[in-house]
Amino acid sequence: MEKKSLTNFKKSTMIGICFAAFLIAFAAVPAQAQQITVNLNAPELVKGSTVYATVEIINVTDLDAGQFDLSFNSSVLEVVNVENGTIEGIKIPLQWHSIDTNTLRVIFNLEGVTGISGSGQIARIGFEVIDEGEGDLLISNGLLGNIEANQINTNWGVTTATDVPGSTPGFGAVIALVGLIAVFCMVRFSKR
Amino acid sequence: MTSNSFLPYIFYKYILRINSTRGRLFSLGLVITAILLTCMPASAYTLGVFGNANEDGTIDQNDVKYTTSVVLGLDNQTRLADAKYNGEINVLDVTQTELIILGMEKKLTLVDADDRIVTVNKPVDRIIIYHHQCGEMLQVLHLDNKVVGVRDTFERQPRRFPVMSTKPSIGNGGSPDIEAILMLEPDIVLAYTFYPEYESLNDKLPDHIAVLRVGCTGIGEFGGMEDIEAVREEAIKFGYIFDAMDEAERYLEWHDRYVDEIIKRVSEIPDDEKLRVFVESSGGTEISRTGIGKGHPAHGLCQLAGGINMGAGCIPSDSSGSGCEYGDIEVEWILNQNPEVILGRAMGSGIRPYELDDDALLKAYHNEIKSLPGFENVAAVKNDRVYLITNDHAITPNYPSALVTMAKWFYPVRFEDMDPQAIHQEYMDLMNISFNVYEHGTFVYPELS
Repeated sequence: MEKKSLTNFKKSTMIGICFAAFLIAFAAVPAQAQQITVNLNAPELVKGSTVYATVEIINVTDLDAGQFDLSFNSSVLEVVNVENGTIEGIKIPLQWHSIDTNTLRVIFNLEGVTGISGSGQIARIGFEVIDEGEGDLLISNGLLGNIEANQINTNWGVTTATDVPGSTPGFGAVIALVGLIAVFCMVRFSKR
Repeated sequence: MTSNSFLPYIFYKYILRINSTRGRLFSLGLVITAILLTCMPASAYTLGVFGNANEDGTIDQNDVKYTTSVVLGLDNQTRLADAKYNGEINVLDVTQTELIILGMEKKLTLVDADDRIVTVNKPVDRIIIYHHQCGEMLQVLHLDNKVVGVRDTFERQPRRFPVMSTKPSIGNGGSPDIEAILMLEPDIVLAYTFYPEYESLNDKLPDHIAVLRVGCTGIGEFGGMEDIEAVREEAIKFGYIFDAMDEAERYLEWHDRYVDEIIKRVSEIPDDEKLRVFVESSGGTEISRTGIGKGHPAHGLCQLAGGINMGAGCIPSDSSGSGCEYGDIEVEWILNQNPEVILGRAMGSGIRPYELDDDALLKAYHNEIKSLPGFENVAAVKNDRVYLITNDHAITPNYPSALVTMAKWFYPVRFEDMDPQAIHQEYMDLMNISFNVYEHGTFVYPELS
């Protein structure tokens, strides 16, 4: 009798753990997905060539406007072109202005307030490499806004193409954890 | 040809080639005037709504462009460019401005009539009001169904406020019934600029209920263009707050049609032909009268109608702190001034012009003025030029019809063709109120024939 109630207690505990794990998984995944990522892909620099730095965006929702400052080493790079990007085929209408010799301020505002969702490229900035050295490309003061004029939680990523993080970091880990717990529970139940 | 190349072309072709110096100067003057007119803003006032980045009289795509330009560092920051009112100007303000233009914003921050900054949560669906003038403006904007609570005096005015007079009372303006207000769950409370006092209203309400101090008294302090612009600004502000811009513009079209005409005709009257008017309010005695001077709406009306308010600068300041000249002045002083016109502003003691068909109260007030000791020798009385306006008619958004009445009293020949009753009826129609001003009400005394 006592043994049976102990077994029931353990079973209930396991079910509780499984339930809690699933709850955590469902709560954690959207929280991770809310933060979108913007990366600056900087090219290799060869003196005398024209190179393009691209600002890419991953998994954005209801994007309406944005701004960022792009700083660079003006003794190595000279801006020759700022091209509009596209997200899911929709053009991102850029405006830009040099706020000092080493910094461009780039802003965009999509027409109307219908916004855009998805992934793509915000901007493509062309530089002429005028000398040897480091480009020192860096994004700062980044801000993305949604269709309700609220700030979009953004991870302003990294500055090289080789180090682009995943679209929803942490998602895989959570799924793996849930899977492990589920397997553990199933093994324990099958022993009873 | 672009506008930049067009002007030099005109200058060369039509001015430099004119033979006479006088002709050149005249043509040059015309061109400069035209350029100045082109450069003038469409409105002379700044609409006090955050999002009006270029600080003109409206919020439109020019504000979107201006804010964009500020963010890029190409233009100077303005206070109103901070559309989200969070202390910084960035692309979120650009989007917020677009939302305001489309009437889709969730919050709207504006400067109220007391120069306070108020943020209103939108949409505004539940309104509480304290003052009657504001009630009329809400009717003009067809928002009476959104009013959920009113000051106690509304229920006694069913003709003027057919819908609002049936709404629950939130007590009087002197001591607001906070519990009653909270029970009605308003989004916004519209109050006078000077009462209820902040301590008894603003300080006792939770933050999510916006308290907006508004004028809506029609023409105000100076009887000049700035007052008229204030009327326009308030109507447009209401349009933005309540998403009723079409109705606000329709009111302004009506307003401007008559006020502009009055201004034009009064400007043609030489100063030495303008009438000297004593303006007073009901409630005086045989020894002293309640004079009205600068800062009071009745003074503004008098000036706009082409009268010279003799009391301006002579009447003491209002003891209640409203900031206008309003107080006792000796009858002896009036006798010495010998005004050509006496204009009485009737209010209080049951003077509700929309609710009364009998003019007995106005007639009694009229007789009171005429029979004051020594007044039989005053020019205004001798020439039968004592006129009465009622507060609820003239000191409201309906002031254009009162203004036409006064202008016609003062200068009957110049304003012979204008029909104030017809204008008043148009105002009732603007409010969608079934009230025939030809058959009901006692708005002025004596009535114009």
